[in-house]
Amino acid sequence: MSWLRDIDRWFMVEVLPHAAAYRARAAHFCGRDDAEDLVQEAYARVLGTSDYRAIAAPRSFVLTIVHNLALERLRRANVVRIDFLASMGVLDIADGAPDAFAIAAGRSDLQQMLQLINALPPQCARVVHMRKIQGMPPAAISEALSISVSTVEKHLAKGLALITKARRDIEAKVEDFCPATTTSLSQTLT
Amino acid sequence: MPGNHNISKPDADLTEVAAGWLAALDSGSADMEAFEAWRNSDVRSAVAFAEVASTWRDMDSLRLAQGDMQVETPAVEQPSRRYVIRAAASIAATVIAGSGIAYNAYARDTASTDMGERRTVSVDDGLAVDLNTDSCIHWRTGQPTRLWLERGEVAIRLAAAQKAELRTPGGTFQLMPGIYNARLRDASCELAVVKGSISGAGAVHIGQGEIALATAGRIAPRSREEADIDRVTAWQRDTLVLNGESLDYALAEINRYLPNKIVIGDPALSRIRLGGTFATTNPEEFLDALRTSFGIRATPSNHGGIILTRP
Repeated sequence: MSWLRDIDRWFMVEVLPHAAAYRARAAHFCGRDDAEDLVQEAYARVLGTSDYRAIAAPRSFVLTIVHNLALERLRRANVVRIDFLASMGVLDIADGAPDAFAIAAGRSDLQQMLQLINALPPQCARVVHMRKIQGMPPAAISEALSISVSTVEKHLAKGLALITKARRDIEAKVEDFCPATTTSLSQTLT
Repeated sequence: MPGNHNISKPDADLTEVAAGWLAALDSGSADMEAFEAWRNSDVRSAVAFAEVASTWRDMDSLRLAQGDMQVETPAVEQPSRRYVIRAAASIAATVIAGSGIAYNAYARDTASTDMGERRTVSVDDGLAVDLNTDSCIHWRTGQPTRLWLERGEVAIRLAAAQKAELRTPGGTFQLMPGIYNARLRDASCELAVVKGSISGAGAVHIGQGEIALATAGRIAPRSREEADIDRVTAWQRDTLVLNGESLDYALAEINRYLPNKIVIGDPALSRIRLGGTFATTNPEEFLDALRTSFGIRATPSNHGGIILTRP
């Protein structure tokens, strides 16, 4: 994929595989509803770092960003229990987990990916299957299905977006191990 | 994300826009300058693009593993004759031009284990494979004998003068006589050289005591500090060795052996770090250690699993 910059390759290899851990951490602090937003914001900070090569432990780095962003948000919100905030501030959040793959369990599982493709709308599934599993070039798919190349493109784009979102949802389910703390957060300061 | 909270979700749309760009780049119809301008306009665009590119890349692993999996082509409702003939011609062309994917699919033997089970199979004279819990491997004997690791973890023992090729979703390894431990992790494969040596694509050479990680066809050695062969092979002695890892990690490991999983019921517990050697055959011992060292309570859940909570 020549259209990827070095930073994108680094991001895909070092940062994205641990998405489930970031979402779990974010959900722990901010609740499930805000978790995705928080993670996206953390991603944006990481991808906006020009000296990304200097980041020795990308996973811990992103987790720390998530933690700091959560703190910022909680400080702005006026519905946070003060003891919760205090305990968060002193938490030791060092994360040297050697096996991030285990925590990101479920992601990129091939069988799951196949199921996701098969669950797409029929024509969309067919095009994704031909392009990504059978390795047919877009022109050959257009020929085989008697549709235009731009329609092939549209199906691929739709399938790709749907699968990317579905994988986020699956990661969110992994977080069920660590239920969100929304209940304690909703108590108003008095 | 479904639900009725009204937080604006610009990134949801961004995913679709990013997927549109990727599909256009893939078919060659994209204007590179316009694409770069879009990506540089907002770092969130770059994030969205990297995320869909990651899905795109992960789907490539399906093709690499195609010979190893039962891939069902989505049904075509009422194909026209023209469609069938053209599709067949295109697929034939792809297979010929491709890397012999169809060749992989026939005449293979298979061995597999259920969760908590362990098994040894003799593949050939001088080639034996131990399967860890919840694993599956296929093989075809020949020159060289080929092994396909589909699921889980195996130890491979090759006697003198025996060589084998190990194919995994992450990449292919050429194994020299020796002892190896291969474990799939998502779309990657971690291969530890207990004894012997391996080579892979790009003339990588991994020697005794080293661990390599194959991802999307690329093989990279892991750092020396991370290579702890005793720990990697501990499963063959029915043990799990922990050395200060988080409870999250410990559970992920021990749950591989348990049909009824142990889960954390209190998020604060996941930060606990553990050390010690535990039997993978007996989770009670592990739960006992949690109770006596940390006062963690284990309660059966409605679904047959076990939930850990603080007292």
